[in-house]
Amino acid sequence: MIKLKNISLMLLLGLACSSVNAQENITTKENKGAIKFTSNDGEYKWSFGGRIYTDAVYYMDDATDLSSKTNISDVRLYGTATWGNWDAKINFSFAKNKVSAKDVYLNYRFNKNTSIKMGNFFEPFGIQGSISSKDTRFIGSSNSGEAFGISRSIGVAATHFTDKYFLSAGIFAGRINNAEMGDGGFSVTGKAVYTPINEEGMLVHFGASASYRMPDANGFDAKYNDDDYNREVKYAAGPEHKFLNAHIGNVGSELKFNGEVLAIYGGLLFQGEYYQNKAMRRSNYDLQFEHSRPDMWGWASTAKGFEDWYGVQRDIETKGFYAQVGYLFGSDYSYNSATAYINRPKNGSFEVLARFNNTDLNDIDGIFMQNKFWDADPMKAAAGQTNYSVGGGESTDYSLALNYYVSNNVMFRLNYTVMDIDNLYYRMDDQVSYVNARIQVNF
Amino acid sequence: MKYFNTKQTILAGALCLSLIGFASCQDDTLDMNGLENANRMPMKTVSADAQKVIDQLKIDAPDAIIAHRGSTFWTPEETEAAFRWARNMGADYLEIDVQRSKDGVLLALHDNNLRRTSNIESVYPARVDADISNFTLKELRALDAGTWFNEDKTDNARKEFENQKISTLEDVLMIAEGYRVKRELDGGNYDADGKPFYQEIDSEGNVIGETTDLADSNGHFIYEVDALDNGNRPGVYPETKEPWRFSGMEEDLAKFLKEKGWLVTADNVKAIPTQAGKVGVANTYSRIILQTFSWQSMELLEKNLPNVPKCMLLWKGGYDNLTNDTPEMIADVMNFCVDKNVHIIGPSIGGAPNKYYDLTSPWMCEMYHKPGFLIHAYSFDTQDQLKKYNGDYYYKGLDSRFKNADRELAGEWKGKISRDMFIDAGFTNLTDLSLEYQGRASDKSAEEVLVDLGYETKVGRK
Repeated sequence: MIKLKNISLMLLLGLACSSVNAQENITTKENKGAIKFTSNDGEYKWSFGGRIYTDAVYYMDDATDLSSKTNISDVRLYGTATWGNWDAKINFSFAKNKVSAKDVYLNYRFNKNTSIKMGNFFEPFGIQGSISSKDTRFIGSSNSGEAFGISRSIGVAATHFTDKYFLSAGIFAGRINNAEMGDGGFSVTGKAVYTPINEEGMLVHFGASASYRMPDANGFDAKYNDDDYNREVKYAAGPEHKFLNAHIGNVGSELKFNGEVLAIYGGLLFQGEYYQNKAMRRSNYDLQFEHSRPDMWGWASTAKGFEDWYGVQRDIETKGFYAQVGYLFGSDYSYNSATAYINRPKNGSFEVLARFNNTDLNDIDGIFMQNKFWDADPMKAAAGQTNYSVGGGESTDYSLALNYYVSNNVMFRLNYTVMDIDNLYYRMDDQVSYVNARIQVNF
Repeated sequence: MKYFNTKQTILAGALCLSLIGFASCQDDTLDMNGLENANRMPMKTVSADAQKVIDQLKIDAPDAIIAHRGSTFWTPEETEAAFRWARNMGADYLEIDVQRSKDGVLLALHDNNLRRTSNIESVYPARVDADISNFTLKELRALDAGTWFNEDKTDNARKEFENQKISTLEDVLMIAEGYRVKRELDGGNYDADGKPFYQEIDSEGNVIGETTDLADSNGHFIYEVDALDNGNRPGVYPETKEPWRFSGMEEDLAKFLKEKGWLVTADNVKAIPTQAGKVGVANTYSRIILQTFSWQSMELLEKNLPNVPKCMLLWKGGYDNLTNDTPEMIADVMNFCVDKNVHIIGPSIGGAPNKYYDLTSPWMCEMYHKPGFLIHAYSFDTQDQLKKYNGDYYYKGLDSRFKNADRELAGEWKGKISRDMFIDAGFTNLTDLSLEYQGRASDKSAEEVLVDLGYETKVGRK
């Protein structure tokens, strides 16, 4: 006991001394609204910061009631460290009364243009899917970006860039917040951007991304004692994820493609992305048949019997695109080849933008009735034969945005959106419009 | 660019956000009550051909009283007694459930098996739960389809119901035309429970005469003009079942109705003499109304019997009917009905004694009417049900439109209640009650009609 007490005392003294030493060997600097600590020999750097989003949304013309309200939609705290060729970052969100890990990674720089990253971070896919929400032009991504973007996964990715091209590819092993039992999924994702014009005040870049994915399993299926047949893919976007929402079950794998274009000319911006997705289903009829007990009429007598009745579990294709134009008052846009996106506009700038977006989460080849899909043949449908179509909804939306970059730490955002809705599950909703506002603070 | 004062800017931004928050306190959503739903839901409209049939229905059988299985209250259901009573009582239609015997005869019988409505346990003890389609007509005629009623409803038991027979569709058509089953007389007088006459056949199945011995017959009745008929000529309202039970039923029905001259779209439609002041639906275009719960059967009815009036029966639950009574689900079914050239919607009503799910509330009726359909709801057994689903409780004095065509809406219902929110006709087990409600009451009570027809001996509780 005395020995433990003495050791503890020594440890405390040691820490206190080192802290005194640390204070003598650290310089602090303010850089674009953030505080950075650097050791005197320049070898070690740390920074700590965070952000707060205070949001408000007001819905109009909604037949299905949507909740107009204000809330703190995000609170983040992060820490970064750099030493030698290494960087590390830990970033946690505390929004909505829960803690979730965002960027948590270790990065090694071979040189200033080439690096490899390990941990939980954005998969390199498209523009909106690769950047932080604090850097998007509108409040959040477009509906297509929200539905089809990939966001963060645990993995390892290599990146190389020059002023003419950007290449990034990685292999990933599922979500950090996957608490389900059953095997995790994996993905292989890559992005290539070519920037034929990259001059002062003028830029054009074209890019393409692709991702092959196996979704995480949703736990074990107790009936079949198998976790392979209950993987699913979800695409959801828009107000409360109601009018654009597709759940696709029995997914074996998924293919995603993205094409992007970005052009800037002084204070003018054009940005657009196209998304195409294919969810390849894996039929579980053989498994069902193996585990089933026929009814008193001996049905089904083969696995095909299930397929004939319930419908072919076919692949599902969905797509979307957006195009936006913007103008910056008070400065010009500038491009960052390291991120293959534009930098935050200068303080005091006003930015106005307009966007057109179309998101199609429907892949239907059956008859929709009574909130279910039935066989395309009316006689078979009337007999009760079902169909595996997906009716996640289609929408076309038009948005305007106004951004004011007050300082490095504060910006105001105001968006107005009109969204035309075509969703079989919400047939009384033709159109909804809404105003979003955000006070964005980062430090 | 000149910088704003940061503090002031932040305060201004916070104020804007708060304003949005306060503004959201206002009700920004449409009031989605049932009536709003009915108005907003996009639905198709019936075709021109369907509209013609509907318009004809309004002429041939407005406010139709549809005798559900003849009657399940006064008589054993779907027997000669039930249909003769409903005819003489004054029903506009005789409602039946069409099934098919093993030898292809179209029957009027509700249950899938014979356990409830016959003495099958005594006659075919090993086949008590066998499906109807496993029995020939002769086998079915061997059963007593009346005594069970006397045991089940002792208050209405009559000796003459004993040994009533399972009916065929042909029996029902003949009764509607004013015929009855020929029976052995009792001392020269008509005997309602006398032995019936059948078509006698030879060894090759050719009809050679008539006989009371079922064994020497093919099971088909011999008919005679019903001397006790009072001149009413009702139509017939057959219900088809799921096609998986009776494959080809719709085709058989079309063929049979044509053979008997009851298919209005054929070129051999029979003229059925009627009398002024009596029910005469049998001699109109609307003499047959087809009905079904099954979507598949409706497809086949449209295919085999186009332009014959059709009623889509609604029930809550089950894959091929209303999964749920939301506007979207109802709109789905209405659009399906428009596509299949349905003319009438047949929703269930709530309340005792059946306590079915209520699919006939005012906003639902509006939705059923919107595409152009008529509403024939099922089934009415009480005065309260008749008043409720005809909207009487919204009117001053609870007046019915039959008693007071100029009735006024009570309270603040003006502008909010319309005729479209209520039914056009109803199925009933108590034709007498519906007639009285509509002010069409005959001068005879239900029991008097039974007595007139020869069912005179009460044997239950006196």
